[in-house]
Amino acid sequence: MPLAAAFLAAAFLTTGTAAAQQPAISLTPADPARWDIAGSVGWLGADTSGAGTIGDDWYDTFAGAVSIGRYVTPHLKTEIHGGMTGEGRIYRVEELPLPGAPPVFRAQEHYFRSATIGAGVFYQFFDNQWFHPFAGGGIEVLRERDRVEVQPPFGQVPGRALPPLTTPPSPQVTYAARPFVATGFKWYVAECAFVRTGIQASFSNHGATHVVWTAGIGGDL
Amino acid sequence: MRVLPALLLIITMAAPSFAQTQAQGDLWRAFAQKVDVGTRVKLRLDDGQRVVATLIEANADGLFVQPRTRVPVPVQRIAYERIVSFERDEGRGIGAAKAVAIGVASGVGAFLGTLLILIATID
Repeated sequence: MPLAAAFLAAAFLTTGTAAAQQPAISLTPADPARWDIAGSVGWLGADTSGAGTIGDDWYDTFAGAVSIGRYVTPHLKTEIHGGMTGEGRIYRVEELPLPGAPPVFRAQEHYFRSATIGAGVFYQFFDNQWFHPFAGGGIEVLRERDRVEVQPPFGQVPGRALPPLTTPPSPQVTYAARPFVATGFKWYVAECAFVRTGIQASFSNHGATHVVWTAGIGGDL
Repeated sequence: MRVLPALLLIITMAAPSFAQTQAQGDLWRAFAQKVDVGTRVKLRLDDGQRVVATLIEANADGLFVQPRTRVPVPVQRIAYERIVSFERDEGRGIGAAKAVAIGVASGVGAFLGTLLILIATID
């Protein structure tokens, strides 16, 4: 037993040395920033392949967002954000089957516009430096408005009557809650002002459906 | 009788470590006193922390440095025994002016990138 105790004591003494007698150098300012606000513009790509017609799956459009973050620790930040997009267009074709005849097609132009509000947690790397990469994730609620313009059918055989056609309701508004992940970096241009850029992807059960790249400016308060 | 070997073991294992730390501390003390105050230095401590700082004072008790951070922090004292490496920083890092330039360039680049994408997608 004394030998075991001696080993433990020796190990403690040899590895402990003078470390931990004094706190490490603190790089956290006396009055650290608590809030982080930012505005950004960017570009959104969104997948609509669940629509059930033939044609474009992805649309892309301008996006803008604002965010407010609260630092829980110098590295950990909670954030809420809200954003809106421009109108993204896709062209799709609907097949209208005719009994005993070749099908007839009808073109549809979909104009999507979305708005999001979300909340997440982000980890910010490095202490009190000019460059801070970050990564995080959360949940966002997506409102997507789909305005449809239906064109007259084509591929019709002359003299053959078409069945009654239904026009999809327009605009259709859908809501969905989706998890997202995001990463990027903040590059400070002054003590409390930064340029921020990043990429965010949100997911449904089809995979990544909305991917947005953003760049903007912000400040610490 | 078994206590004596145990004590001997503690002494033989622990003593070289203390002596080594002390000797290294003395070396860093001697080195630090030859470095001009105001010099930008790069330090690595025994807990793995790496700091770039401005040397404020080097006395017998320790090294006083101001870490180079975005938001200024107070001058900090470092015991010589905690220093693992200590060298002058030749200033290859990013200064405030360079950070501003890169930040502005990033912002302008992002704006122009957005504009180009917009132009490319116009039907």
